[in-house]
Amino acid sequence: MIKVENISVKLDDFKTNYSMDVDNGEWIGIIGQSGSGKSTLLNLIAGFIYADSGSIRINSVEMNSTHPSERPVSCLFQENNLFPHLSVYENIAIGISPRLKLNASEKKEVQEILDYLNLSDKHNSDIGTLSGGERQRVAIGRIVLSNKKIILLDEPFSQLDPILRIEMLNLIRKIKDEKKLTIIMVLHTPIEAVSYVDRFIQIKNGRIERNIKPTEYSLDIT
Amino acid sequence: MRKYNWLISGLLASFLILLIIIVSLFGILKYSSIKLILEIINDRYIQSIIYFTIYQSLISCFLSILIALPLALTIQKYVKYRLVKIVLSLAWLSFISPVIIGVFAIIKLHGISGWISDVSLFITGEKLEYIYGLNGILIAHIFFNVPFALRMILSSLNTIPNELWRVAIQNNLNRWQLFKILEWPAIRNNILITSAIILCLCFTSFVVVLILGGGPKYSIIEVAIYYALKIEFNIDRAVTLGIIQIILASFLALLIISFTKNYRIEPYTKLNLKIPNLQKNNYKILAYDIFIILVGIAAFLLPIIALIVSCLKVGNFYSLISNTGLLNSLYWTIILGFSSGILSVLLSMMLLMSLKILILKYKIKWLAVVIELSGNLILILPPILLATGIFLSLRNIFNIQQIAPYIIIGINCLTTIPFSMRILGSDYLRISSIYSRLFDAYNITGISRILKYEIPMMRSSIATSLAISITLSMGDLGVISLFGSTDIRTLPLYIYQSLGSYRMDNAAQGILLLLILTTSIIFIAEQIFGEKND
Repeated sequence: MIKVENISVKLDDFKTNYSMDVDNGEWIGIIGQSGSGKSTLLNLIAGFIYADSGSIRINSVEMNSTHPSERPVSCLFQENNLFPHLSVYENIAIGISPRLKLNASEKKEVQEILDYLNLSDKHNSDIGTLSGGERQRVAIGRIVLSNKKIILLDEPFSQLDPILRIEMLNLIRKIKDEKKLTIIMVLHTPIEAVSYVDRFIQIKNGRIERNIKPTEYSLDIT
Repeated sequence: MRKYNWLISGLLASFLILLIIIVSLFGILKYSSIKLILEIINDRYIQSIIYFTIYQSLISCFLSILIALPLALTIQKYVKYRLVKIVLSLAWLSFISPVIIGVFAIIKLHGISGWISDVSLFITGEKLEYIYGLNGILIAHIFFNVPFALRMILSSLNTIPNELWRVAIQNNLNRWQLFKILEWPAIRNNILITSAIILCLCFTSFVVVLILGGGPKYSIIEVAIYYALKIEFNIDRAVTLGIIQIILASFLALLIISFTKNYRIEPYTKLNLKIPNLQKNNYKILAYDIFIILVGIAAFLLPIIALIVSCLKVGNFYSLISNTGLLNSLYWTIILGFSSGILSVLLSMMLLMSLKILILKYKIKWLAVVIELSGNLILILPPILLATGIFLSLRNIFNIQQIAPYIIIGINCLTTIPFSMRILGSDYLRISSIYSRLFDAYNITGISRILKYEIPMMRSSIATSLAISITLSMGDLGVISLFGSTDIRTLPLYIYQSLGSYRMDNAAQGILLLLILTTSIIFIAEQIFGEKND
């Protein structure tokens, strides 16, 4: 369970104060206008920004000063998730071995992920040759391999076309169910995620405004 | 006819530049012959000079990168702090200020009467003498080039997307893996460019080697030309060395041009560094960071502090204004520096106007290449050689002393045109391509287009190129030392002569004035006319 209590951080003139609980296995959609503080919330949970006050607990463990690599959290961003000079295989393998020196069982694991994501034929491909969807699949592969139970998605599919976005959401749902993951996802087009998320959290001016059930979501909510 | 006005401006500028170069080459070739060249090349002294020129350039380049790379990787973590920003600005200033100021700073720190020697005297009872010769040359080159390399590496690191830093940190990459997977791929191309530029700068480092070389034993080709002309008056040797310099410099210039085609020179203050500090910190890492930063401080901050302290001790204001020799030098520095700088920017703009029209409209590539080449030809012609050629061509026609200021302005202007073109070029072509349709739609043409639209939009880059051209011209020591006299003497020549006759107080006064003058110009250009970034 993720328990966020009054985390406050001041970034230039922008001050936040968040409190929320997320149950294990839940899929949360974060919505709000641009500049409202959606990504800041993810950065605080991931540890890329340290809070000035308040507390973040994951499964009852205090995480306030824990380094990002030691939190059970993986992130997927809108772009720049992959190292451009590494191959598809290497980009996924980083999730299990940053030294990129894998033993036989680790190699097998990477290969299984490649098969699972239909990327086997792209094994040695250059990142520059991949489509937007393929790139995000490679990044998802790394996240799956890193075996962390909380996934933070920061508008990861907003640059893809609508059909591909739905395909990606389906893929995330499949992985979530199989691996029993908790997902917090900042959404660019919330309407598309209505049938996927368990609830929406609306953020306004650096604060959590309200929780919205998917069935209560309407287009005038931003 | 009117539609060719744009073309004529560039052709006229090219003609003027080529005229100076042709007059100079004519003078040089009059004195050269294959037999003479072969004879002189076989001279062991000449061979040792060529060897030393290449050797010191390679070592200087290697050491500069060796210091700058770990320094950049460490400093990137602290770029958000104001103090670090100030240090980086100071470092940039040391790169673009006249070389003689830096050399003076090095002497104040490392010289026989410098701080380090004083400390040694206090501890061991002996003074240290290591500044003249290869040591001094290397120390000075590190002082000048580490800030430059640092800037280049930091700007490369700045191109790494924030998201990739986060991915790397989240996947627990250690320091070596971060370097190998994230940082090195971002900086490796720039390291090559930086090395090539540093190599070129050290290869033609006239002022440093003239003052710190300590004599003919540690001399580079350009300084040997100067000795041949000024001390031995051996024109044959000067001409042969000049030709060797042209051949070697052509190779280096080709290297630089091919590497830096799309590179835009920007000062630190315009570099909006946004590198996040997400790396793990512990005492070991902190100790390493402190060590590396101390090395950086020793390399370029201590000389600057020594310089500032010595300038503060210069004496009172009255002693400055009562020194007529100094004030005369100040006058000529301003006159010659501003004239060369303004002329350089003017000619560069004329060349660029034609280049733009040739590339974008007429698509006559060969003529564009000729015009661009005329602006960059100076890169392979050492100013001292150009000056020699002009002297040899004109000495029987004019009274050289009378026309000396015009020759100095002309040559210094030519030496700064490649910089001006590089700074102005990208901005001018960008503005032209963005607004050309708008200009055409509203029939905005001719002088009004330049004065009311293009120049105001290029205000920042014009100010930067003007400041760099003026300060580079003001810092010239090679050409002024050939054509200068007791009447026409700039501050660098005044300082050089003062250093040569051990009048350190006079040298410090000159340094203070030159420092105030050049930093004021750079400050005005960046802070008042520059873009309001960061």
